[in-house]
Amino acid sequence: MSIFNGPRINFWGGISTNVNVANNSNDVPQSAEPEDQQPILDVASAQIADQAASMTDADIIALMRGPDPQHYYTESGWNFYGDQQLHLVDAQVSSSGSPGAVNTQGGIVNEPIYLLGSVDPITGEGPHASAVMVDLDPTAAIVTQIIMGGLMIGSPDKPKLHLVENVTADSYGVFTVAAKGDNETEQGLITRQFYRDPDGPGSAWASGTFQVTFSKASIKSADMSDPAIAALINDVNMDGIVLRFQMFEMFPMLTTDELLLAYKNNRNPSNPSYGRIVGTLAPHYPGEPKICSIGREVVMQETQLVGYFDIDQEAERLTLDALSLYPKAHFRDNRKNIGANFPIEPNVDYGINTLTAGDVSLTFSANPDDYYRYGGIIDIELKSTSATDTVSHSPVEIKGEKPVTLTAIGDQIRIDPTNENHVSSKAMETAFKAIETPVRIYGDARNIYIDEHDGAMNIELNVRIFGRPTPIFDEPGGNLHITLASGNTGALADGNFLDFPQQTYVQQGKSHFTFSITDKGNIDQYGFQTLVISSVEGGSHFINVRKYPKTDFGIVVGSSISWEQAYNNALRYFYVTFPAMNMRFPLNDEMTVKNLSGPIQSRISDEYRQTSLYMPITRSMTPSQRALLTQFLNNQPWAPLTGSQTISSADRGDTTQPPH
Amino acid sequence: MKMKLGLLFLCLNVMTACTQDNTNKQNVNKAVSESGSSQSPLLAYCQFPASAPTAGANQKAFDDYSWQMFLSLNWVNSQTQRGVPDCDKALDASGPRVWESWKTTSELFLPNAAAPGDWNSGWDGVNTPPKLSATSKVAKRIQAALEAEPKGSGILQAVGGWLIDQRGNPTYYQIASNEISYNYIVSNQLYNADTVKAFNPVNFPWETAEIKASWRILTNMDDDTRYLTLTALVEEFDAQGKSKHIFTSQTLGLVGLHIINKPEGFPQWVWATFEQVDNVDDKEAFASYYNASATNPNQSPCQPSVIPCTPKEGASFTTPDPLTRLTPIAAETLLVNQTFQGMLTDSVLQYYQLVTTQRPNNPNDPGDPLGTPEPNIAANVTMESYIQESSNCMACHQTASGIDSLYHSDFSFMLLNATQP
Repeated sequence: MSIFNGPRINFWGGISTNVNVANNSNDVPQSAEPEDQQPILDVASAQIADQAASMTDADIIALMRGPDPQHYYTESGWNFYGDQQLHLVDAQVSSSGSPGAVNTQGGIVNEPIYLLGSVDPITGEGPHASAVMVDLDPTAAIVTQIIMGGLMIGSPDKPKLHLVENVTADSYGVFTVAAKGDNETEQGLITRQFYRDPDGPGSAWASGTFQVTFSKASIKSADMSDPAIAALINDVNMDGIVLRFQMFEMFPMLTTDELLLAYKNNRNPSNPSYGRIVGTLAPHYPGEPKICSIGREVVMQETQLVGYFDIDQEAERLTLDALSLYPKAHFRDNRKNIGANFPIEPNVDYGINTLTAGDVSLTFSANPDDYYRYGGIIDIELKSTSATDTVSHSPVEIKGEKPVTLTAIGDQIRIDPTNENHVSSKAMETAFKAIETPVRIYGDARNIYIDEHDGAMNIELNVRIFGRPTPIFDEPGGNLHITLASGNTGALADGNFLDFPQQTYVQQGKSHFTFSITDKGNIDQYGFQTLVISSVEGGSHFINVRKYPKTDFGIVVGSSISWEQAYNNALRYFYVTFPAMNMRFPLNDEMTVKNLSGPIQSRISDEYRQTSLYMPITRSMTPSQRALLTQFLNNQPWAPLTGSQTISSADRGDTTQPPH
Repeated sequence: MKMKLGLLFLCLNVMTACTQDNTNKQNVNKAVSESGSSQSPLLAYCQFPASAPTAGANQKAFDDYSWQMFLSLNWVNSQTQRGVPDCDKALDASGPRVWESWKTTSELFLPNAAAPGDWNSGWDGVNTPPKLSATSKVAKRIQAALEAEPKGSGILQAVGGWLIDQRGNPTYYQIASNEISYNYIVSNQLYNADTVKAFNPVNFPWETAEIKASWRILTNMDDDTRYLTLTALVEEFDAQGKSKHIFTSQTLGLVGLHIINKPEGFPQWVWATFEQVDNVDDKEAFASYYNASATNPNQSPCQPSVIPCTPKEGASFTTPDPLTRLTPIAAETLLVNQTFQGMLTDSVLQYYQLVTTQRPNNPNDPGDPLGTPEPNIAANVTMESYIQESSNCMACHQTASGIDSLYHSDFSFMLLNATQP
């Protein structure tokens, strides 16, 4: 129950994420008519699309940077020069303490906090680079994740708390994917703001909640003289440290006009998104999931924003993790104003909230003005054993005292939460009502590279019915039936490469279930697949899986690999789509690539795979491409991976211009 | 300022035996050469700036800082010790500039990892300027790739090959360290490749500085009063760019100067780059590297996929490589240039301009080790000629390491020159 009833360290401030977006689609707009569109990229296989094979590298790059006939690059969200780096901006501890006794002053309050990149796994050096944001779905339409190497509180020369471990924070609260009907799902970004500045990307009004757990062994140093840190470290049940945070109001620094002018003048700036972050460190307890909350779930009906709660029976207290539950009306006034010097604007104030469960009715404040100082966590005294018992066994509903009429500021426009593309009148009435999700399906399986698991793995998920193991259902056998289906894969076609059971069940009295996913083994089925797991009583969970293609690239087995073959098949896609890499070293320069043979081979090796240092950071380079590059650099004859698709040389000639 | 490992180090080794133009008569500043007149407002720029602007300061503040570095490093050097301006003399007084007294890679990285002596060794202040070795220091890591290369020619850029000016002559490069850098390398024996391989961490002291200079041959058609000049013995090459192993005396004009400095509080260093104003920007008069009729400028002279660099079909080693400036100098930098050039109307330095100053906007954030470079693009047309659109000093130099070393070398490629004992 960690975040709910353990000692907490809350923080807030700014965050920057510099994700490259050139691979967000196979298509780059070339005309005002979408039907004229020709694919430029094949992001699933990290290749230039066959239809663009005759284009030069310069042609493609010019297309990426040029005027956009379909306004895809407008709203300032385009970031061709992003390097995937992510770091906190002027973030600091805002409060600490135990539930019901959280202090906003003293101790480590106001100490800086940092997310760190990875230490070099071979040399132990560093970190020399930041944490990174990596989209397992290369188009970023479904899922993202943050790979980091540690966390630090306090000054670097004398940290109060220093954790060192390579961990991946999964986006358990960025997108929703839910069963819609027979083999259909719907998806959407979780909306945080009702109004948006139109000069921003589609993700700007969304919020993203991430969680990750550092092991106990990750603690490199801890200042035990600080009560908050001592309470965290000395918690007898603690087997790790949970980091849960939400990033929201992520907005690029450059306006559309500024960005286009900068491209015109070849200033080629990266255009990272800067936003707010609010988060909490707390102990992780045995048996809890590592990447998501263990609590019962309530969903705000208007926005689909989600909160979690749990009940401490002994303390007769309900703790509501409301960080992602209450919406905001507007963006910050100035997109550049983030960090601890610019307090976060209040949430929408719906007045006194009433929580009802059975015959229990309790009121509390959502603390809209400074919720962020407390990590968005609200401790509610239940005041009696009977009330505690009732709330523990009854569905919960939370309602705001009053509806609120919101109006836009300036050019901001209203977002209809039920339709992210819908823009309507500038004034709207909104009301707060959150009801509990009866069935909650959750677990640590969220983002999977199936190749890392030899093409098969067992998945274990948890199920709770109003927070408790499954009761007897009025279904065959009295079990809770679970269905599994392929979900919406966003901008990419469903890779349809997985075998999985169409249904399974949870035995009565049980709180988890398992099933297997297996790569079908078809060489022409690869890419990205989303698996939606639902119960017939409601509740769902989704898992994203990526599979890399295996190919021989049409190169004769045993032949000497030429630079053209190595470049066109393994490097060209990255050269034209990730210019930030070229700022480190030019991928199209044979001499440089050969000179850097050792470092390149290290960075694409398995030793670096789980670190923020792996190259390419996007993890889009396929095993076949890695093999081709490695063998080229080692002057080895071409030996494709076992089970590779064979491409005839006629199908894949060297039609591209050779790099210089 | 994109310098890449193996190729970069070629740039470090100017294969010329250079001698300083002692008289430097063409460049003597008539107005300020009489003495280090205390009346001269330029005297305020004689000493290297004591500190850098505050982290996060704007472009103008850092550009001012860069000009201060440029002026102090171009002050005439003391006759008695390296790296010390003679503030009793005028800016343009006769003699080597401060940066020209710094130890070059040829003086620092001697054959067989021999100790290079102390800082002032080999310095007589006037007549014995640094002699740049013509001996290759090709790293064994790239030896195989460069087997047929004109070793250590000192004419190759980090990426893309050589650069031929509009007179048909090559551009020559030179790299040197200041005393702090030199002493760090010497005291830790980092001139020895075996030492470099195991040395960790490389952490140059605050105030470490390096320069990289680019030079072109001045002909009778050039106005040498617009250049800082150097008389040097330069290597000659055949039509395919291979060394003739012949050296001839030429007067060179400075066309580019990188100044990289690690001021306290900036672990990612501060990166300034200057150019001679006639390189590409003046479209009316002769420009050293610009050709108005060129339809496809900024292209590498090398044939694709041919190692070593071989001229493209129909071209030779004397074929000019036309350039343009892909990223215009920022408006705020132009204003700073105007200010300083206006103070230098009697100095040859008026014919130089700052291209940009790249620095970390967020230098001391452990979560952002690269420090968020600003601006994102920084290129000197004479040194990053063919990669201007992606040239980012800090991002490139963050990858620096020594030969065969797994460890970072603190944003400096200097240690690639270390030699085997």
